[in-house]
Amino acid sequence: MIELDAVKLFYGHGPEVLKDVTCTIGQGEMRFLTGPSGAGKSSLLRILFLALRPTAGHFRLFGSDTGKLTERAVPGLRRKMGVVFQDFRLLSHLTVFDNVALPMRVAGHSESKYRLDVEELLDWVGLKSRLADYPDTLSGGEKQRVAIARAVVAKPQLLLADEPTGSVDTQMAKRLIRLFEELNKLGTTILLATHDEKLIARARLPVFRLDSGVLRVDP
Amino acid sequence: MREQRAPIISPRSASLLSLGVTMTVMCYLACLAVAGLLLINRAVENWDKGLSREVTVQVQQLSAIDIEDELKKATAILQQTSGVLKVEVLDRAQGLRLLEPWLGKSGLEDLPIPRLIRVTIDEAAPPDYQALQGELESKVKGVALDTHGRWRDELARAGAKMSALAIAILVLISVASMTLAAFGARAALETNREVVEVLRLVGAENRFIAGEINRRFLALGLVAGSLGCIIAVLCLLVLGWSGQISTGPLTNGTTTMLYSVSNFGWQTLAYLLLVPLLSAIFVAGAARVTLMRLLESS
Repeated sequence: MIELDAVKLFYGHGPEVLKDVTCTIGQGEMRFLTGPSGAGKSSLLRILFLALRPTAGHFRLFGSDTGKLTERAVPGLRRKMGVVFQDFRLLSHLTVFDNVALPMRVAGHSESKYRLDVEELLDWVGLKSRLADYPDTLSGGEKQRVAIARAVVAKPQLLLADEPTGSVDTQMAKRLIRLFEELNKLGTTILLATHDEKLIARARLPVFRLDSGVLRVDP
Repeated sequence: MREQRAPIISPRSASLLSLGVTMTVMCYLACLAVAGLLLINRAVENWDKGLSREVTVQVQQLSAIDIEDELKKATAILQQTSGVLKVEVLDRAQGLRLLEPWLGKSGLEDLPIPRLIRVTIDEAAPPDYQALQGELESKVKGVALDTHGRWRDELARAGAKMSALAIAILVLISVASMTLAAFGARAALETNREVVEVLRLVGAENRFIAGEINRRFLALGLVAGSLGCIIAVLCLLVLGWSGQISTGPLTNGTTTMLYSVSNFGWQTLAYLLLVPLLSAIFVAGAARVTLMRLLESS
């Protein structure tokens, strides 16, 4: 699913953000990515969802060498992925329902086809009563849950999440991890970036540890 | 139950008010240009039809001739000529009335104006004008045959030039509108940068993003075009109404040319209604091309 081989990343002439990162995530795996702030987690995720190209090294995604991808091929790959952003990236002029439904609209589905799925998902994340509300009226935790619902609504093959439980209480965090596990059981490959060590310890999943751009794998 | 999906691009985030006002003015001017083009063509057609149906025979008041005798001779020749349907001798008073719009009413009595014979022609089988002119000149003193050919040529030339000018104005307005739409598209993309980024991250293709933004331009083109068209039609109606109450010294023909556009036929209205449609197509087309180019290059 994901193969990184000696991937390096520099921003302009700045310091090396990722140093020879090599790792593989197979189809159906679920892993954590952790490390201190500034370790390069977000940069690595940006490479994985094709918002950045590595400065050097090879990155294969869904079996394709991303170095040879044309810009036209990127949207098709992104539709196979769900991404939860640390800053949520919700569209403030759309309701909770429309924000969650966005990937389905982009994929060309009619509302009658995805309405029930969206409502069920919002029910799962505890926001069914807020589906007609706008993001500006939600708390940070609620926005995060909307962002997660949007990322998983299209049942992606790969889910990348940057601090997906950072703004929710422990109870909701457990519930969300259970949602990810359910998705994983259905075949979705998942990489969760977090520096919540308690969460990592509870989940007992393989962990990538990133420190100053160097990646090592905890079994 | 939800009936309509919310626009992905917020109408408020892509403020196109100034572009809308400008487009309304452009469409107003385009409607006036179209109306002008129709007016010119109709006036030229009417005049040409009138001129080709008639010729005029003038008999000069020369010394030592009896003009009434010469008029009778000319009338007799004309009546015997095949292709002539009607011969009408205008008396001196009628001749003077023709000059009144230009020279006024007073002081005309002493002018040595020629007497005129209005000759109605069978358009399907007109007379041999050269032979007719030869016969008239050989038998009538001070006679001249005016077939209005020079006027018709001049008229056709002037009409063609005016039409070309109106078409050039329409082309310029179209180019200016499309340029404005391109600027508007660039601004809309800039304003919606974050939305575009999110759309891309959830896998939207450039044509989807361009299509979502372009809906605003399509609506803008239609609304601005319709408003411009309505204002132009109102202006033309006011122009026509002011022509009906005009008491100025214009001839019937001139008044008709200036104000006849107010007598809207369905055909005229149909041409004017094309302006909002074309406006929407041009604006949306230019915006889409610009959006696609910018999205592909970003």
